[in-house]
Amino acid sequence: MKIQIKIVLLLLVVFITFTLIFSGFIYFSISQYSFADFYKRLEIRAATTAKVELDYQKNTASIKELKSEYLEKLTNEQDYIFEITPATALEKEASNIKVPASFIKEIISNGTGNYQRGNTFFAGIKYKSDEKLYAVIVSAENYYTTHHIAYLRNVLVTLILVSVLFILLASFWVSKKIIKPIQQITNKVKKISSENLSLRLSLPSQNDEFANLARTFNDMLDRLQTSFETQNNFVSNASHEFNTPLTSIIGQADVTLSKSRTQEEYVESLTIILQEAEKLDKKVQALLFLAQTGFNGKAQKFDKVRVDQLILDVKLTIDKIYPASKIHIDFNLLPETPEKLKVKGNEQLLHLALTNIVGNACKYSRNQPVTISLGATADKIIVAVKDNGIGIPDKELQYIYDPFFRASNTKQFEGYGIGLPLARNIIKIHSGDISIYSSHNQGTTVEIKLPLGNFSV
Amino acid sequence: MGENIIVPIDFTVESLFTVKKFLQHNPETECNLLLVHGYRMPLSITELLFFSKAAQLRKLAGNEFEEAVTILKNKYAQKRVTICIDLFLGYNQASFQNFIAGYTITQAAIPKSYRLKTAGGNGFDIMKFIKRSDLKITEFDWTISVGVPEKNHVSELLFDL
Repeated sequence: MKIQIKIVLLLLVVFITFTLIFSGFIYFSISQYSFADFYKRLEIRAATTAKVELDYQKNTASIKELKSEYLEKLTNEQDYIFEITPATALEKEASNIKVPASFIKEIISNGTGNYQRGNTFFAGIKYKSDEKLYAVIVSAENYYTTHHIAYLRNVLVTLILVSVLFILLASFWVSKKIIKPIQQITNKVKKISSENLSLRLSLPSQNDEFANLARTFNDMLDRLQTSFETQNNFVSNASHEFNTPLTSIIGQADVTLSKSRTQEEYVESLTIILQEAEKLDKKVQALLFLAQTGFNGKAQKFDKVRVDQLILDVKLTIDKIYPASKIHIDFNLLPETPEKLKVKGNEQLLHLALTNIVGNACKYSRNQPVTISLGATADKIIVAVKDNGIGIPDKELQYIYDPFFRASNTKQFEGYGIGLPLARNIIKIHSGDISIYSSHNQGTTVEIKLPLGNFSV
Repeated sequence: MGENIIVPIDFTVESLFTVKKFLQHNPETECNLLLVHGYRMPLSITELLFFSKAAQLRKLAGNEFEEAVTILKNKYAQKRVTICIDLFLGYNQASFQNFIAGYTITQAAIPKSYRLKTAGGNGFDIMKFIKRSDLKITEFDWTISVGVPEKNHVSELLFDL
């Protein structure tokens, strides 16, 4: 069922229920009230009649006159009077008036009583005159109330019908108004395909849920677009990266095989081929590792890792890889309590990530001093690596996590563009954060935040 | 309990260098550091009615600043150094004297060459009040970072230039 119809039905059901309860209440309370009122009138008439018939038999004329002048005649008004003695046969009297005996009994026991037969109402009182007890019963048709009630009923039914019509129109209008922005968004999103991913939804002027929805869509499109572009970049970069060593292997082999060579020449060309093949192997290995550390749901074995120890280990490793590097470790703000230094993680992976980052810092700063510093906040450990190297151009900062992406100012440095995405994957596995702040030709600071492991000492 | 020391800050990470330098120069001290920035109370009656110092502090101190403060707290966790942040809401020297009397402050650690900024629309620098007061003032200097990439991030505190 369409949501528009759902809204209409829902509004209709709610409104009609309300109207029905409302008018039903009005109808019943008014009719109850008018019945009670009519019985009261009948009782007064019974009292008058009793007085006329039993007490003032001598001068009835004047009272009758008074009665006919001031009390209007009710439809089919009839009076019944009979004496109550222990010998009176109540059933017989009751059948004379055509009322049940219980009604008469009620009058005798309570002093008053009411009874309704069809449209005729009976009210009776017990009356004492000259030491004798009488039952005085007056009956009449309730012309006014029945007509008023009927009129009220007609009015209410008409009003309900009219209001149903009105509610129907109103809820159609409301639902249309609610649905309209959704339809606009749907129409706009339909136009967006993989060819025109740069299209975005226009944001409504009000900052409501629909603006939120549109914004969420736009965010999603941003991510989609980025990942599409990353994918495209990745394929082209990867094929380029693999192609270069392959081309030189093939070219070398081709040239060598074109004529017979001396022993030394064969050795030389095979050495070059081997070097290129090793490069290729390294790239494939790195790529494999990147894929393994990506989010693939495989559980990694996590253990207690001391970050200060890790940094010292990384320094040793980097000293081996880049013997000319100058790494300065700044433990000025090292927290005093050792539990603030422990994270839950895989030491090999963290070591690899940090080695990549520090290695990059050394490489791209041409072995100028690199500072590694450490600090702990309430729930995180912050490791910062600072270099004074070539930096990253502002525009390229958003692509640095793309595999195989290399910034435009890194042409004279060797590298594959895998280290940083790998490091980020590893930090992400550890629910950490990596931020890179850089200014071109001034240096780069990498800030890694790892959640504390909550190990007690 | 150690001495109470006032440190003017402007809610940037760099202004915390005064604290860092102070603690480096006095490694064995026991002290309570009170980081203070001036704040002019709003003038409208409704803003005054709903004014809350805690909320204002939360607004002024960003995430990075608070993280940097916790780094300092963790560094000196076992040395009985406490660090608190407060706003000075007065207007003149007399109210500043009251402020330091209320906290029983005896010393001030201030930056030498770093110029404090004004945080938010109503903030102001309390350096002139500190300099005019009779507190024992110690100045700390560091290389002012200009255009470092990690400006205003936690890592700024981690490096000495």
